[in-house]
Amino acid sequence: MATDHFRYLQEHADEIIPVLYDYARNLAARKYHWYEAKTLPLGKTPEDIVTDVYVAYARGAGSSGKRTKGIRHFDPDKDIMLQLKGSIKSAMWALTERASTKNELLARSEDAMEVEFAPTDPIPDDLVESADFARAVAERVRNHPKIKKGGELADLLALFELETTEVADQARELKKNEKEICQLRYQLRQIYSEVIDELNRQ
Amino acid sequence: MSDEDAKLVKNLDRLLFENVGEEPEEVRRRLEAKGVDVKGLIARVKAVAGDAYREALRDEAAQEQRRFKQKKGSIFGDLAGLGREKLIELIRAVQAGEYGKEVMARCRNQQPEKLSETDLRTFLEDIESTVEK
Repeated sequence: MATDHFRYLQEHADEIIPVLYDYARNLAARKYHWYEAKTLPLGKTPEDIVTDVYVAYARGAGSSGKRTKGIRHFDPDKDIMLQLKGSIKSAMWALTERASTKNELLARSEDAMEVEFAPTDPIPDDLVESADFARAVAERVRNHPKIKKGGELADLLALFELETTEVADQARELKKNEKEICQLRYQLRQIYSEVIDELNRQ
Repeated sequence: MSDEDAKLVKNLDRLLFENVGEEPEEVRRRLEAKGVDVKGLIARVKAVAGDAYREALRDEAAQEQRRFKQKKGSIFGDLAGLGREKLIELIRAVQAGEYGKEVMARCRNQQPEKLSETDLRTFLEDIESTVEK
């Protein structure tokens, strides 16, 4: 089964790796104020994180049974992408832990975090940030030229402000089909991503 | 941070981390638009993971070999010096239950006379490697 999972990872790498890398970049930008040309703690990059996670599962597939440092096994009852994203999140968390932990505690914390899976929720619900950063993000998004000129993107942002976040609800409110809403959401996400990047660089 | 700002950022975070309706190919194009060499990225990650997988298999095989060596001789002693007749006698003794039920079960349907000396020896070593003493 483990070998099947690894074969799946390798055979579907063209689809999986870009999605994981995108997730790692977004998480790094949001949580660690990362941007291109800057590294994460301990000199790591989002690509390193994706590679580490892939390698951990590869090692898990090539070894039987035991949960050991640096080795991960898939839970066959859970979605693979959710597990991979959970592992990305876990690996990044571990990075900051390692960077901030005293040397004496380093090995112990490393062991602990390698063995355990982080929660597999792909959405980081524990983003800690300053009030100033959040206010700056919100203001910049609201004042982005593509939002300021009004129209559909501004309407979509208004729905997010009103906590109408589901595609189906947004489609109903804006009288569009779900595909059109998805396209608008990509554009809004792009704006949000740009704003985060700009602020991280300042 | 006002409630409105906090809510908006929280909801936009959800948008940022979801892939609802977005095909991997679209993600790929989006990354390429940001200057990411996606093809190179995939090749690098796959190569490192492939190496790690092969290394894990080698480690596993080496561990198995060590276990095999540790168990070699643990039940039947040194088989290297025994000739064909002695090896057959040994299997007959196993079949008679002289080495315990677990080992006996492994030999139940075996016809040792039909095996070569090398096969007899390998068969007994194989039993040793899998039976918990």
